[in-house]
Amino acid sequence: MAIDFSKQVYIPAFNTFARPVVFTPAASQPGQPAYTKRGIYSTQPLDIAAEDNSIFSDQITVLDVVEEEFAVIPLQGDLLTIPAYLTLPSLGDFEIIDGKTNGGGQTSFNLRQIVSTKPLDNF
Amino acid sequence: MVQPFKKDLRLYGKTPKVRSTRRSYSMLVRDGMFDRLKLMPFFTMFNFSTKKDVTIQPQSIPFCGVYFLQEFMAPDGDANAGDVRFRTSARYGFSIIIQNNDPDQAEYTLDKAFQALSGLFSDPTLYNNKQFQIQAFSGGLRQHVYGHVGQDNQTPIAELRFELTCDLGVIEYPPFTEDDLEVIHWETAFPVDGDPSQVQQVIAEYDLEQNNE
Repeated sequence: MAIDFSKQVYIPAFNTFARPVVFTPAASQPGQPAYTKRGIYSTQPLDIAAEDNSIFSDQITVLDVVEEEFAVIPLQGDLLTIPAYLTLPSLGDFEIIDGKTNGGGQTSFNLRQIVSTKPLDNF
Repeated sequence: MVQPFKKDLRLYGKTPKVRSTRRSYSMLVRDGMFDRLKLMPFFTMFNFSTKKDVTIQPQSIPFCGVYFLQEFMAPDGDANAGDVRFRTSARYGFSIIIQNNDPDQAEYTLDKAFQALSGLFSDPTLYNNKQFQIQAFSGGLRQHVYGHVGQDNQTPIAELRFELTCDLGVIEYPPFTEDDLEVIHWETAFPVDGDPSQVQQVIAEYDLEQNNE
């Protein structure tokens, strides 16, 4: 018997683990207003090799969404905000830099944090 | 030639001075470049390091690392004749890491960083000073790198990597020759065929400094 992963696995899981996310569809629907959906946020450590194998310590951050909950799937270049929710703190603003579907109804977005420019371009 | 060595160790009075390494020539050059970069206006807000083994944290950005990478030592003339001496080059790595969500602007900032860094070449005190001299800047390699290989890292970093090869000329390692001649004592016994007790003899003793330079 085939399994509808989206309805039988992901949506029940998202009912437990997801939190609200505000999407600004700058690339997928230019000019359209921001909208709120939900997603599961996760982040892991990532060491990046720099000059002569020195290490920059970063994170790889992913937001999972259920595709059937979106009329238009967000694209690379879309922006999103993860606000505070219940007792969970706000996680800030991000840009979608990559998106990959698992073929079963879930898409995982790689996120890049929106940060202040350093150094400031005042030289 | 400038000697990067300090000869001030002496265990006790009669022991020759020990040739001790303070900092090697290559490291003096690295530190010279490091000190000058820190004074440049572009790098005012940067965090600096010369240590590759210290992990760079996001809060370290903007970051400037100046690293000693390698030293190449080739023979100067016949390797099997004369004092040990090497035609020496050293390679240094510069890592300038910035963050900017705008990739175009990030690249231009790296470009400005390189222009600031290249100010080292316009500074004659870098290649001709009392501590060290650089015979030539004999090569360089510049790259712009944007984070992880998959470019899926969370922080929008961009790194200027610049590797600079410096010809440091010939560095000599002259042999240390220990001088055991500590005292010369001599007496006359004149005349050879007569009675020396009838002649006032000369007795002298010379206490010699050892390897005094």
